[in-house]
This record gives sequence, C-alpha cells and structure tokens, in this order.
Amino acid sequence: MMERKVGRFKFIGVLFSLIGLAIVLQMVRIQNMPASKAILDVAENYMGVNQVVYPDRGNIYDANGDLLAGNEIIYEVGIDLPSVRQPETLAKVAADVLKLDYAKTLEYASIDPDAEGSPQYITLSGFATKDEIRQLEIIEEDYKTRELAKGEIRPRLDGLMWTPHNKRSYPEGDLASNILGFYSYLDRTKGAGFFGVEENYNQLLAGTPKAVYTEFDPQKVQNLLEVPPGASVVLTINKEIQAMVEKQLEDALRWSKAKSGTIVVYNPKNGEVLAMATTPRLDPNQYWTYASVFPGTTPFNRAVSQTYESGSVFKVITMAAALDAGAVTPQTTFMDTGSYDIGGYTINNWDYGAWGLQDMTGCLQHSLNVCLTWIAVQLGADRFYDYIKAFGFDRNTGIDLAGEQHWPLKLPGDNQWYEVDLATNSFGQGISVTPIQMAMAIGAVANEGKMYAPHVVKSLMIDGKQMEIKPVLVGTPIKAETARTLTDMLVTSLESEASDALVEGYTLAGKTGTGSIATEFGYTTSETNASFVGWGPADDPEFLVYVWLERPEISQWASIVAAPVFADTVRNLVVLMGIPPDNIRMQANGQNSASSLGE
Amino acid sequence: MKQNFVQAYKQAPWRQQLQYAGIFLAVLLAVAVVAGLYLSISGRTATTGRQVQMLDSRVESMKLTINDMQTELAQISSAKSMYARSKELGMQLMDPAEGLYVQVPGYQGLTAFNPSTTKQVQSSNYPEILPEYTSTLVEWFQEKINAQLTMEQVRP
Repeated sequence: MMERKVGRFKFIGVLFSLIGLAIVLQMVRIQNMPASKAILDVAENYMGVNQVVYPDRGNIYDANGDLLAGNEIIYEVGIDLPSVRQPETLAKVAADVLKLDYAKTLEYASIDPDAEGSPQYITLSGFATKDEIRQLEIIEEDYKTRELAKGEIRPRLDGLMWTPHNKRSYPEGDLASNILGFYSYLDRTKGAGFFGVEENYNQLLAGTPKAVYTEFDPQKVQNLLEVPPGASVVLTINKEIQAMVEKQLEDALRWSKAKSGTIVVYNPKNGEVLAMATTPRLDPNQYWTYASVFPGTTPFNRAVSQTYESGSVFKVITMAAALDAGAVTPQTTFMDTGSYDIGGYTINNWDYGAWGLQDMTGCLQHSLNVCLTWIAVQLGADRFYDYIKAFGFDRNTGIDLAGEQHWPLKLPGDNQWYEVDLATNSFGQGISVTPIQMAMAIGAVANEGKMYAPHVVKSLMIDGKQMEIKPVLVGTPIKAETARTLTDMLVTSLESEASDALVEGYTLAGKTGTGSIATEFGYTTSETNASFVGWGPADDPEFLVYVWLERPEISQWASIVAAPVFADTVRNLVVLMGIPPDNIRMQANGQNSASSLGE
Repeated sequence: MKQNFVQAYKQAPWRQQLQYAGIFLAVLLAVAVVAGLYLSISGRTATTGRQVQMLDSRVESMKLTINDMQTELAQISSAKSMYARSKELGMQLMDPAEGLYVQVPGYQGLTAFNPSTTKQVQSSNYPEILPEYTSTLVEWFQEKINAQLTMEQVRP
C-alpha cells in the first residue's frame, strides 16, 4: 500500500517536472524562433524613439536688450491614421480651419494604415497658427460636450493631432532687416540663415542638432538628454537709432528722388555700428518675397556689398595721407588755375573754374579736384597707395555681416593702372569703395588715427555664459596729430562754407562727396552719387555718420542733397544718444576738471 | 562511544521536519520581503520617472510658451507699434530743435544690456535627479558610512 502511494507521488513529481521542462523548452524555442526577432523589433518601437533634436535658434537682441529676432509658437497639424474614426468629419474640420482642399484631406484621412506600405502619420500643415489651433480646440470641445438628438452620432476628431514647434520671428518687421538677414524657417530640417547676422553667425545661432534616443521607460529617465539651445547674440545696433535713421533715409529718398540710399552710424572709438540703413528692405517674416524685393543683382545690404565711386569724400583720405607724410601742411598754398595736366589727361574742378590761391583748408572747403591732384602728385604714387592700403581700401573691413565685398584696388605696376588714376583716385573717382570701408577709414581721422574694425555684434550668450566681443584695432594709418589737424581743417571748412550739414550747438567735422557715375562711354551723364561723411563732437567724437544717396534727381550735388540728411540725422542722433550741446559739455568737463584738481 | 554521543543529541524526526519547514518558511519570508521592497521601490521609481518625464515635457512646452510670449511682447513694443500707439494717443514726434538738454545730477543714462543677468529661457538647466534614483544600494551604504566617518573626524 505504502509503495503504491510513493509510486503515485513519483509519477506526479515526474509529470510536473516534464511539464516544467516543456515550458522552459517552449520559452527557449519561442525566444529563438525567427518570428520572435520581428516581435522584438516591433517592441523596440514601444521602448523609445530615435530622433534628431534641433536646438532652439538663438535670439538676436539690440544693444538695449530689445528682441530683434526670436521664436514664436507654430503648430504642425497631422493625421495619426490608426486613430482615425470619422475621416469625413476630420477632413471637413481640417479643411475648413486650415484652408485645405477637402477632397485631398479626405483622401489622406481615409488611408488604411494596416495596408502594406501605408504611412501611419500624414502632415497636413507644418505651420498652423495659434488662432487656427484655437479654432480646432473649440470645435473639438464642442464635439465632446454637445448634447445629441436621439440617434445622432457624436462627431469625433480622433486622429487629428497638433504639436507645437518654434518658428523664427522678427517682431520689428523690416526694421534693421538689412543687418539681421533672415532664416528660412519653412524648411524645418535644412533651414539656414541668409545674409547679415543670421548667415554670418548661422552655426552659433543654430546650435548643434543631436541624434537622441529617448527611452519611454520611466526607470531610465536619467538617460534624458538636454540639447543646449543656439547662442544668443547682442548687437551693437540701437533699435531707436536704427528706426530714426531708417525714417531719415525714407524721407531723404522721397525728397531727393534718389534710386537708393544708405546711412551708416558708426562709433569711431571702438568700431561699433550703431545703425545701418539701406534700401530696399525686406520683411524677414516673409523672406520668400526676396526675389521681388531684390530684383536682379540688387544687393541685400548696400553698406557692405555695393562699391561705388564716392567722389570728394575720398579727399579726406588723400589729405590725411599728404599731411601725415609731411607732403603738405595746413598752411601750404596752391595756386588753382582750374586745370592740371597728368598722364595725357586734363583734370578740372567740379565747376570747371579756377579758384586762385588756396591753402589746404580752402582746397577741402571748395572741394578742388585740381588741388587734390597736385597734393597726390606731391605725395607720390607709391606713398599715396601705401596710405590707401593702410586705410584698408584693398580688402574687406571684416565686418561680421555676410556678403561683404570690396573693389580690387589698382596699383602702380598693374596693367590696368595709368598715371591719371593717381589724379582721379585722389578725389574719389576711378576707385570704388563701400560705405562701411569709408566709415572705417575716416573713423581713423575722427579717432586720433586709430582705425577699428566695424562690427555689429557686441556679445554672445553661449550656454548661459556671456562672451564680450572686444573691439579690434585694425591699424593706425595716420598719426594722432595728423588726425587732429585734419579734423580741425574739416570743422573750419564746414563752418566757413555755412554748410547745410551744420547742427546748432555742436561742432562737427565733415566733407561732401559728389561722385560721377561711369557708363560704358565714360562719365557722360549728369547722374551722381551724393555722399556726406561727418562726425562729432569734433573734439571727442561719439558718432560718425556716412550718408550715400544714389542718383538723386532733385540735385546732383551732395552739398544740396546729402548734407541736409546728415544734419537731420545728427539732430535726432544727439537726442537719442544723450549727447549734450558743446557749451553744456564743456561746462561739465570744466567742472569735472576743477573738481579733480580740487581733490 | 561516538554512536552514543550522536544518539544522545539526535533530534526526533518530527522536530527535524519542523525545523526544515521553519527554515524554508523563513527563507521564503525573507525572499518575499526583499521582493516586496524591490517592487515597492521600483514602483516608486517608475512613478517618479514618469513624473520627471511629464515635467520635462512641461518644461519644454513652457520654454516654447515663454519664447513665444517674449516675441509677442517685442511685437507689441516694436518701433512701429509704439509709433502707431503714440499717434493714436495724440502724441507727435519731438522736433530736436525744440529740445532742451537738461542735466540731471546723478543720472547715468541707460545701463548696457547684459543678457547673462536676465532670465534666459534657453539657459535653463536640466532638473537634477536625486541620488536615490541613480545610486545602487551598495553605493548608498558606502556613502552613509563615509558620511558617518567624516562626522567622527570633525567631532571634537
């Protein structure tokens, strides 16, 4: 009896062992069969997601912290096909709100997600606005809560989904757009900065996209990776000054009927560009209008990308070189007979007149081409061009804006250089410059001979750390004494001329420039480039303003067209910069000196 | 002699069986306690992990919102908007020629913008995860011992 019982126990033991073994074997078999690999692959999809995370594009601020380029929320609206319950309802609502084609939307919503090769998700709109999403939310809420009549089926938007993402936004519209450039946000994966700061600092602003595997397992939350945003940029541009300068330029173009215009406000003491207005301008929020705003070869920013023959403003450079080299002094006199023969050509003054005996200030005041030609000859071609190179006219200024250009300087010995070029170059013809080159070079005259690289970025914010951009001293083309002497000469010439560029209460130095425009037959038309460069306060300059109006119709002369624009700009500029009139400034300086002496 | 000694201390079979059962149950209880603890901790970890994921998602969403609101604020205070609004209020641009420069003692003017002192949405740090969720039991134990040793050393 006992033996039979033991036998039964043994049988049950063996049976359960066999069952257990069979289960283990089955588990091993299932885990190693080919189908299990496919199941594991499917399971992988539920464990996490592989995605490339694009960092938020960095902001661009003006010098006072006002946002010039930021990001705003926009939505991607799409259909999650496996979740769709009522394709007709979904298509109707989506088509109505997002202004899509109903038939096409219905076609998308009706796709069978289980069919082979079918997508699981379809994007309807990548850039739905907040208002549109609000409408969708209201409709969805209404569908959920509305009371239904008997037998009526509750409408549902299942499958319609929207996810927020960033869109580049320029809150100031076209203000400073020639400096900012634009970001092609419609391409969400390959968007890039074009022109200006957006292109020049594209890599920093964009940050580094990262391929991230995000695990859904909450136990592995420590594996979540943060993708640092792109660097933010603080500009030297002052929004208020920029707006004022753009308005001055618009008024000037309307009044003078010029084809285009440029005004640059530059700090000669450190190279900061305070404002830079050019025409035409584009609203970077609608960058796709680029081709119509900039037809043909129209440059995006004339201040850095368009060279032109500046005319007599270049005489400042010639005079600076001659004074610095000792070829002339302010007291040197020249008998102007109205013409000067050089290299087989005859150089005349702008009015074809003879101005008689002139000192060097008189030559600048009356803008005498003949006198400046004589000065260049006294200086000699080699020294003249050495100075031209020292002032940076043979290269880009290196401003931190995309698309800078410079004109290839012709030098003695080059095939294209002739003796007469020395003469024409001395008064700004036969040599092309960009407004920013002129601002930088003449900035050296304003700032004791020291020439700073122009720049528009003041600092960068990378990973929460601020990096200041230090001013770069490009060179010292002339001595401080020369710079002071020439500044005094230009103050005197401006005041003696009773120029329209004068601003009451402020001592300014400046020079007009009327440059003839060459055609394929030579300088045969009366069309000109009217320019003016000036700075102030002359003894302690805080700004340099460069004005260029292209082909003004109301008058061809810069003294009539460009000088008043300079004056109007400066009148507003001193208010915005808080620069006191000379008498108050001198008084304050005197008090400061007295108090420091008292100490 | 040896046999007598063993025999003298030999347990009764029923007592031995009881001891085996007791040991088995004690081991079972220990395993159940450890398993329960493990389940409890892993459950809490999972809940907290899910909360962290949700907070992370909320942080991302708030970053978008804050950036959006900053941009909206900039749009409202843009040069064009301000000009239009001031015009609506009957204001007009000042003629600089009519302006009078008044010195205000002590007034330094606008200070330079320093973005590192402002609250930058984009520079937020990832929330720190407590060591309880990342360190092992052994590491936690070591840390406690080290802390205790350090306390002993600094104690006068």
